Amino acid sequence: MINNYLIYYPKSSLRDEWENVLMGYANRTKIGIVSKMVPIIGNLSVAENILVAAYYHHKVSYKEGMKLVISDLKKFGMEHHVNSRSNQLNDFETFIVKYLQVKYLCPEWIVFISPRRMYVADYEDKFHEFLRCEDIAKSVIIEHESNRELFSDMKEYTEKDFNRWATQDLKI
Amino acid sequence: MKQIIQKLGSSAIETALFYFGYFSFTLNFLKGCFNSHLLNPSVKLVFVRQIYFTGVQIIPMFSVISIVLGLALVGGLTSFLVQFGAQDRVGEVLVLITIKHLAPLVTAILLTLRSSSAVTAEIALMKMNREINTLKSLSINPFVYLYIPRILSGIVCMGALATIFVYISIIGGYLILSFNLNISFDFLIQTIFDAFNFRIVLVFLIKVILLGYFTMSIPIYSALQVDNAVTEIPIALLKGMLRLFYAIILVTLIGELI
Repeated sequence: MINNYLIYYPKSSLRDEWENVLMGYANRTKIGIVSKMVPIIGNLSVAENILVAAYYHHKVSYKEGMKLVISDLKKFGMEHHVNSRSNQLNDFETFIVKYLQVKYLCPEWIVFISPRRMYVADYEDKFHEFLRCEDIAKSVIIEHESNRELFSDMKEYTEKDFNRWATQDLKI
Repeated sequence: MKQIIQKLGSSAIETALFYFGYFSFTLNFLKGCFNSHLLNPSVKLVFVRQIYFTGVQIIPMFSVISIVLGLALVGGLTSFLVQFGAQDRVGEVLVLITIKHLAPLVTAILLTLRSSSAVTAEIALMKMNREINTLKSLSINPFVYLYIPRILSGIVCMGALATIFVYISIIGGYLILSFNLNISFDFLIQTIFDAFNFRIVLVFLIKVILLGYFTMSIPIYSALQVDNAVTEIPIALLKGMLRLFYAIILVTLIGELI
């Protein structure tokens, strides 16, 4: 059963409305949001940003956490950024850090809100490669309908209505 | 006339809103102190780091200021009292001035200048950049992760630095001026211990705890009033420092009443 969904919005006000709903839901239970509206924390390093949720919720030890982070960063060719701050990363690297931050939270769902707004067009291929290679059990991409063709080759994702997803899967 | 009334009204509403908001912030702080996540290693790390930024990095500057004030206090006051044959009262005067008044006040002023302003800017920027929302989206309570460790470190550093101030100012002041004073160090310490009583310690502790709480909580609360504009950060800084100044006066008055 495919649990990866694509949800399109016609106007940004609707996306903001959905994002607010999801943010409220994220406070209570674990739903990981990767969005431009949820930036990485400026006064923490990349490793600290990624591990902040894991340290807080899962009490991962520092040594164990760092080992996991370095191996994950290596996968994306970013191991040299382990001690960098947010201003030393490019758009796509920031996106990856946000994703890893959410991944270490171990949420039931990972929601990418307007991923296309988070990086410049040069990284389009890298983003598709990321989606193909990364094994995410339950993920949702919420994107503007004008970017529909960018996801046309994503066989792992099926299109769904936001309200149906919210009521059927999230039980909101 | 209408404008004056409007101005008075709006400032009264703003003040009332501040007190109401700050009161609920304090209640949340007290509630948060019993949160099990407070013992989490990540929260402890934030606490330890804040202790380092607030209490350790300040030590060189703090020591110099303590010695300078110690010179004026121990040197000036002691030689003045000795001159008038009141050397028996040296300890009493030093305890009263240094421990009860000067140590908490000087520490609060230095922490305000160095750490409170930094904390206001840090939290205001985090609020403006929606980084606090990031914590919420990761199911991390910002009160437990961000605010409480900073406030607790403020209280701990205030206590530790005020105690260091007492030691440095009295011992440093005496050692530098010992050639000029007609009393021995043993005599000075003896008179200080004789003048020491429970009430002085109580006032010192109350002042240190209240000032420690205010030096961190007022800047944090003021920083949280920032919305999306960068221009709101200096306003929050200004308001926070002004409120903190009033709080320091209030605590000084409370100390006098006890």
